[in-house]
Amino acid sequence: MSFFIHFIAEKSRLMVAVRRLLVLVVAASACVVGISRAQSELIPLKVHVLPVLSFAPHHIAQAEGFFEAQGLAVEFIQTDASSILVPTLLSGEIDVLGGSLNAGIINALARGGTARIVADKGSFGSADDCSTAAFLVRPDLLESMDTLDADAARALRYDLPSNPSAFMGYLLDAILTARYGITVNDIDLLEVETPLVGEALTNGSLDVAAAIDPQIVRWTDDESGALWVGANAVFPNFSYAFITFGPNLLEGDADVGTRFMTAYLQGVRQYNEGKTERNLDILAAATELDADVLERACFPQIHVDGAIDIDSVRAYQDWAFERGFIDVILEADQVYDPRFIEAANMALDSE
Amino acid sequence: MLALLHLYKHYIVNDETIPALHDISLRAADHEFISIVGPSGCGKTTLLKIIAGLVAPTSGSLHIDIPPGDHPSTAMVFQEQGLFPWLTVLDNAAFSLEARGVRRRERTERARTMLARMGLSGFEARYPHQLSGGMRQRVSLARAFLVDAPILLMDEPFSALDAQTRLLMQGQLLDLWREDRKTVIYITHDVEEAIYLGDRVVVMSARPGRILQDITIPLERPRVLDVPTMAKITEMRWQIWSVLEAEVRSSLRDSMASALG
Amino acid sequence: MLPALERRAPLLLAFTFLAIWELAASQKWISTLFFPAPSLIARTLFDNLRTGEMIEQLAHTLTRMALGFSAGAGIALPLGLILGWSARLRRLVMPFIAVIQPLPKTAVLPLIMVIFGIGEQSRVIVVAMSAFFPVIVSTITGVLGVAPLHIEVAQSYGAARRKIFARVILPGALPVIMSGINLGLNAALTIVIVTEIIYAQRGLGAAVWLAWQTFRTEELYATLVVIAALGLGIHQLLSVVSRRLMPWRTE
Repeated sequence: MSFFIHFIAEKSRLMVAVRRLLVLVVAASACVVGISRAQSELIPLKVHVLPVLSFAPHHIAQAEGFFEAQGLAVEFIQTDASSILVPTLLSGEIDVLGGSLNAGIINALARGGTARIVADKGSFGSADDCSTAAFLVRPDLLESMDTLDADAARALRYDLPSNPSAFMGYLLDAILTARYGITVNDIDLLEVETPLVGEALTNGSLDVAAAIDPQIVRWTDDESGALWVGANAVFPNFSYAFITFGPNLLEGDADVGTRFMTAYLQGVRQYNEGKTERNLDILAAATELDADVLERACFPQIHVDGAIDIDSVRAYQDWAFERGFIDVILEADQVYDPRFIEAANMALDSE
Repeated sequence: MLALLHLYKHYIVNDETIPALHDISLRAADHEFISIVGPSGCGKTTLLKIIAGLVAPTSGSLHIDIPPGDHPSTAMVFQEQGLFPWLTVLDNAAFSLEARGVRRRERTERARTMLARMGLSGFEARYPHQLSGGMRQRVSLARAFLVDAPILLMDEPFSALDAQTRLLMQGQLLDLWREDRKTVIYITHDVEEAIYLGDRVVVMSARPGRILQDITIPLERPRVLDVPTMAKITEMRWQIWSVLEAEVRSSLRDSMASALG
Repeated sequence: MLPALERRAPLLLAFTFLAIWELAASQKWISTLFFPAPSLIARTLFDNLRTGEMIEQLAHTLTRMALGFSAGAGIALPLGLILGWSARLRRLVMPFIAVIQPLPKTAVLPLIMVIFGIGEQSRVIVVAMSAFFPVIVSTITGVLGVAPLHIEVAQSYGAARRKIFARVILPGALPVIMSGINLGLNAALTIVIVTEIIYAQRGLGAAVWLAWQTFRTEELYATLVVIAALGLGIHQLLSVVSRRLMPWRTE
């Protein structure tokens, strides 16, 4: 034994060099292991997104790396096949849904599905703000819209982007009921593919079209439609779009949901900085819209703390129930879960 | 009554000229029963179709001399599948009259009578697939006889039947013919049948078809299948076969060559 | 005993399947969110029938189907007969048929709408298009498939062309034409439902789509039952018609 120590001590200069090399190697491998472990720690999330303005905070969060900073590897699932969104959320195929008020989610919850609205994704502003959603009419009809009687109003042809139980249907119904005493079930609904709406208005096969900016800008620009009623005039400060969590985030580790929400709210905060150059760049890339159109479009309002107006949801349910789109009216706690924005806001404010 | 003079027929398929008949000259007197034998592809069916007017000869002439009247010159009996599956026995038989514009009531009545003569009473409403082969051919015969054509053309009418039914049908044909002596041109590849039925047997060569022999059958009518008659038939059969065999072989070689080529 | 059992076998199998499903739903072995109990589906179906809602949707779908199929087959049949008869015309037209046939009609729907406008006519046209192709192809095949022998028989007896067409070509081609009509009807049913899902407000397909949108799965299943019944009804009707038109077919 002593011979060995002697032996090692004698080779001390060589040993020092070897020791240094060994330390380097160990340190380097520790680094590599550390990095790969950090990368494999990124939690994958499937988040429904559309390349449109109303998903601005998502696009901003992704572009600025907020999700990654929260340890999330967010995969955007792009589809506007609205029929499959709620089912895929409930079955756990996607983790986060971004959508607007519709009967589907209410009915699904009433039937025992696990989902909750967790944050704001769009509200109408006050009557003085620009309207992000509106109904356009054929320019030659604009004058006569005020003087129509119920029958004439019923005879017009309307276009909605989705089924009549969705929020644009709710909006249209409110307009029709107030002005003409008819409901959305009384009228002829066409479903025109968005690219064809302008054409349809121009050639007279459509009279009234739903429009969500930047469609309002586009269709008034080329004069295929004239602005008839803006959403803000009918439902000021109304929450119409939400972030919805499915069973994966609600039943699993709440930490993941909170982390998503934190990144999302960061995106919302930057979004609320307005039409900054940085924001416009990100959105132009994500939506492939003209910078010019983006500048003039009405950006939807999204509350900076993600809070929703729960009364909006209740009002919608009352209407949907009356029209027969939903079977049960749910209480707030059956529909809304504020935990995540609470936790996210706390995390962001403490930074 | 029927004269074919130097008939030639060729077909053009894919820029190739295929000769079918070569210098066919044939006479048939009234009420004569002529059997034609020859190897497959020798053109005998083509010959029949030329007489029926379905196919035009490339050159040569065809003379048909028949008594005047509201009847066609020829009526044809095809092989077993010649009946329309979608018509009843009655309508099938009456078709020959229908094609000539005879009204429904008259033609169904006449058909009914003719079918009875063929022993098919009670089967008028059946469809061909419900009948045996022999019965189907009797319907075919009824159809052909209904138009009263003086010349009857028969293209291997019994070849698809089993041997026993075939014998029965041959006997029936001769019975019918005895009552109504049409001129018959009868194609078959069965040499014995040709001899048994015919007044003359015409032997054709392999393609392109030529007439090799025209043999008169010295048997008395009515043809009775007793021992001396059978012996004579057998002897003549070997005579004819000696001529025919070479032709059949050559025709077989041809068809094998085209199958391989 | 056994033949009687065998005849009822499909019914027994279906019944057993439904019973298992009912049990699984009541015991929550399966998600009643996506697979509601058959009893609930049945109740929903009867309610919809009672209120006349389902009948109205059925009427819309049937009308579109009937109009579309009549238009499509109405052109395909005579055109097919002509093309079967004339080799020259056939050579001219077949390439176009071959190219357009494989195009999914729903993919062409927006184009149709641009040309003919949004509205009922475009939907009917798409249904007509999908019925057209199976019918015309079968008609041509049927005519070409008529045994040359049969035509020769008719010619040998001196039948005029019109007589040959009516008494030989048509009945001879009929079995194949009927199978084409069967295919055309099936295609029309499929396409009308799909078109209604994409682009209509009323009709069975529209009801399916709305059921998904509002997440009323039992409505969805009830509507599917009606669609299946419609398909079955068409099949039966066609069987009866076939048997009357072609009494010589034993099957």
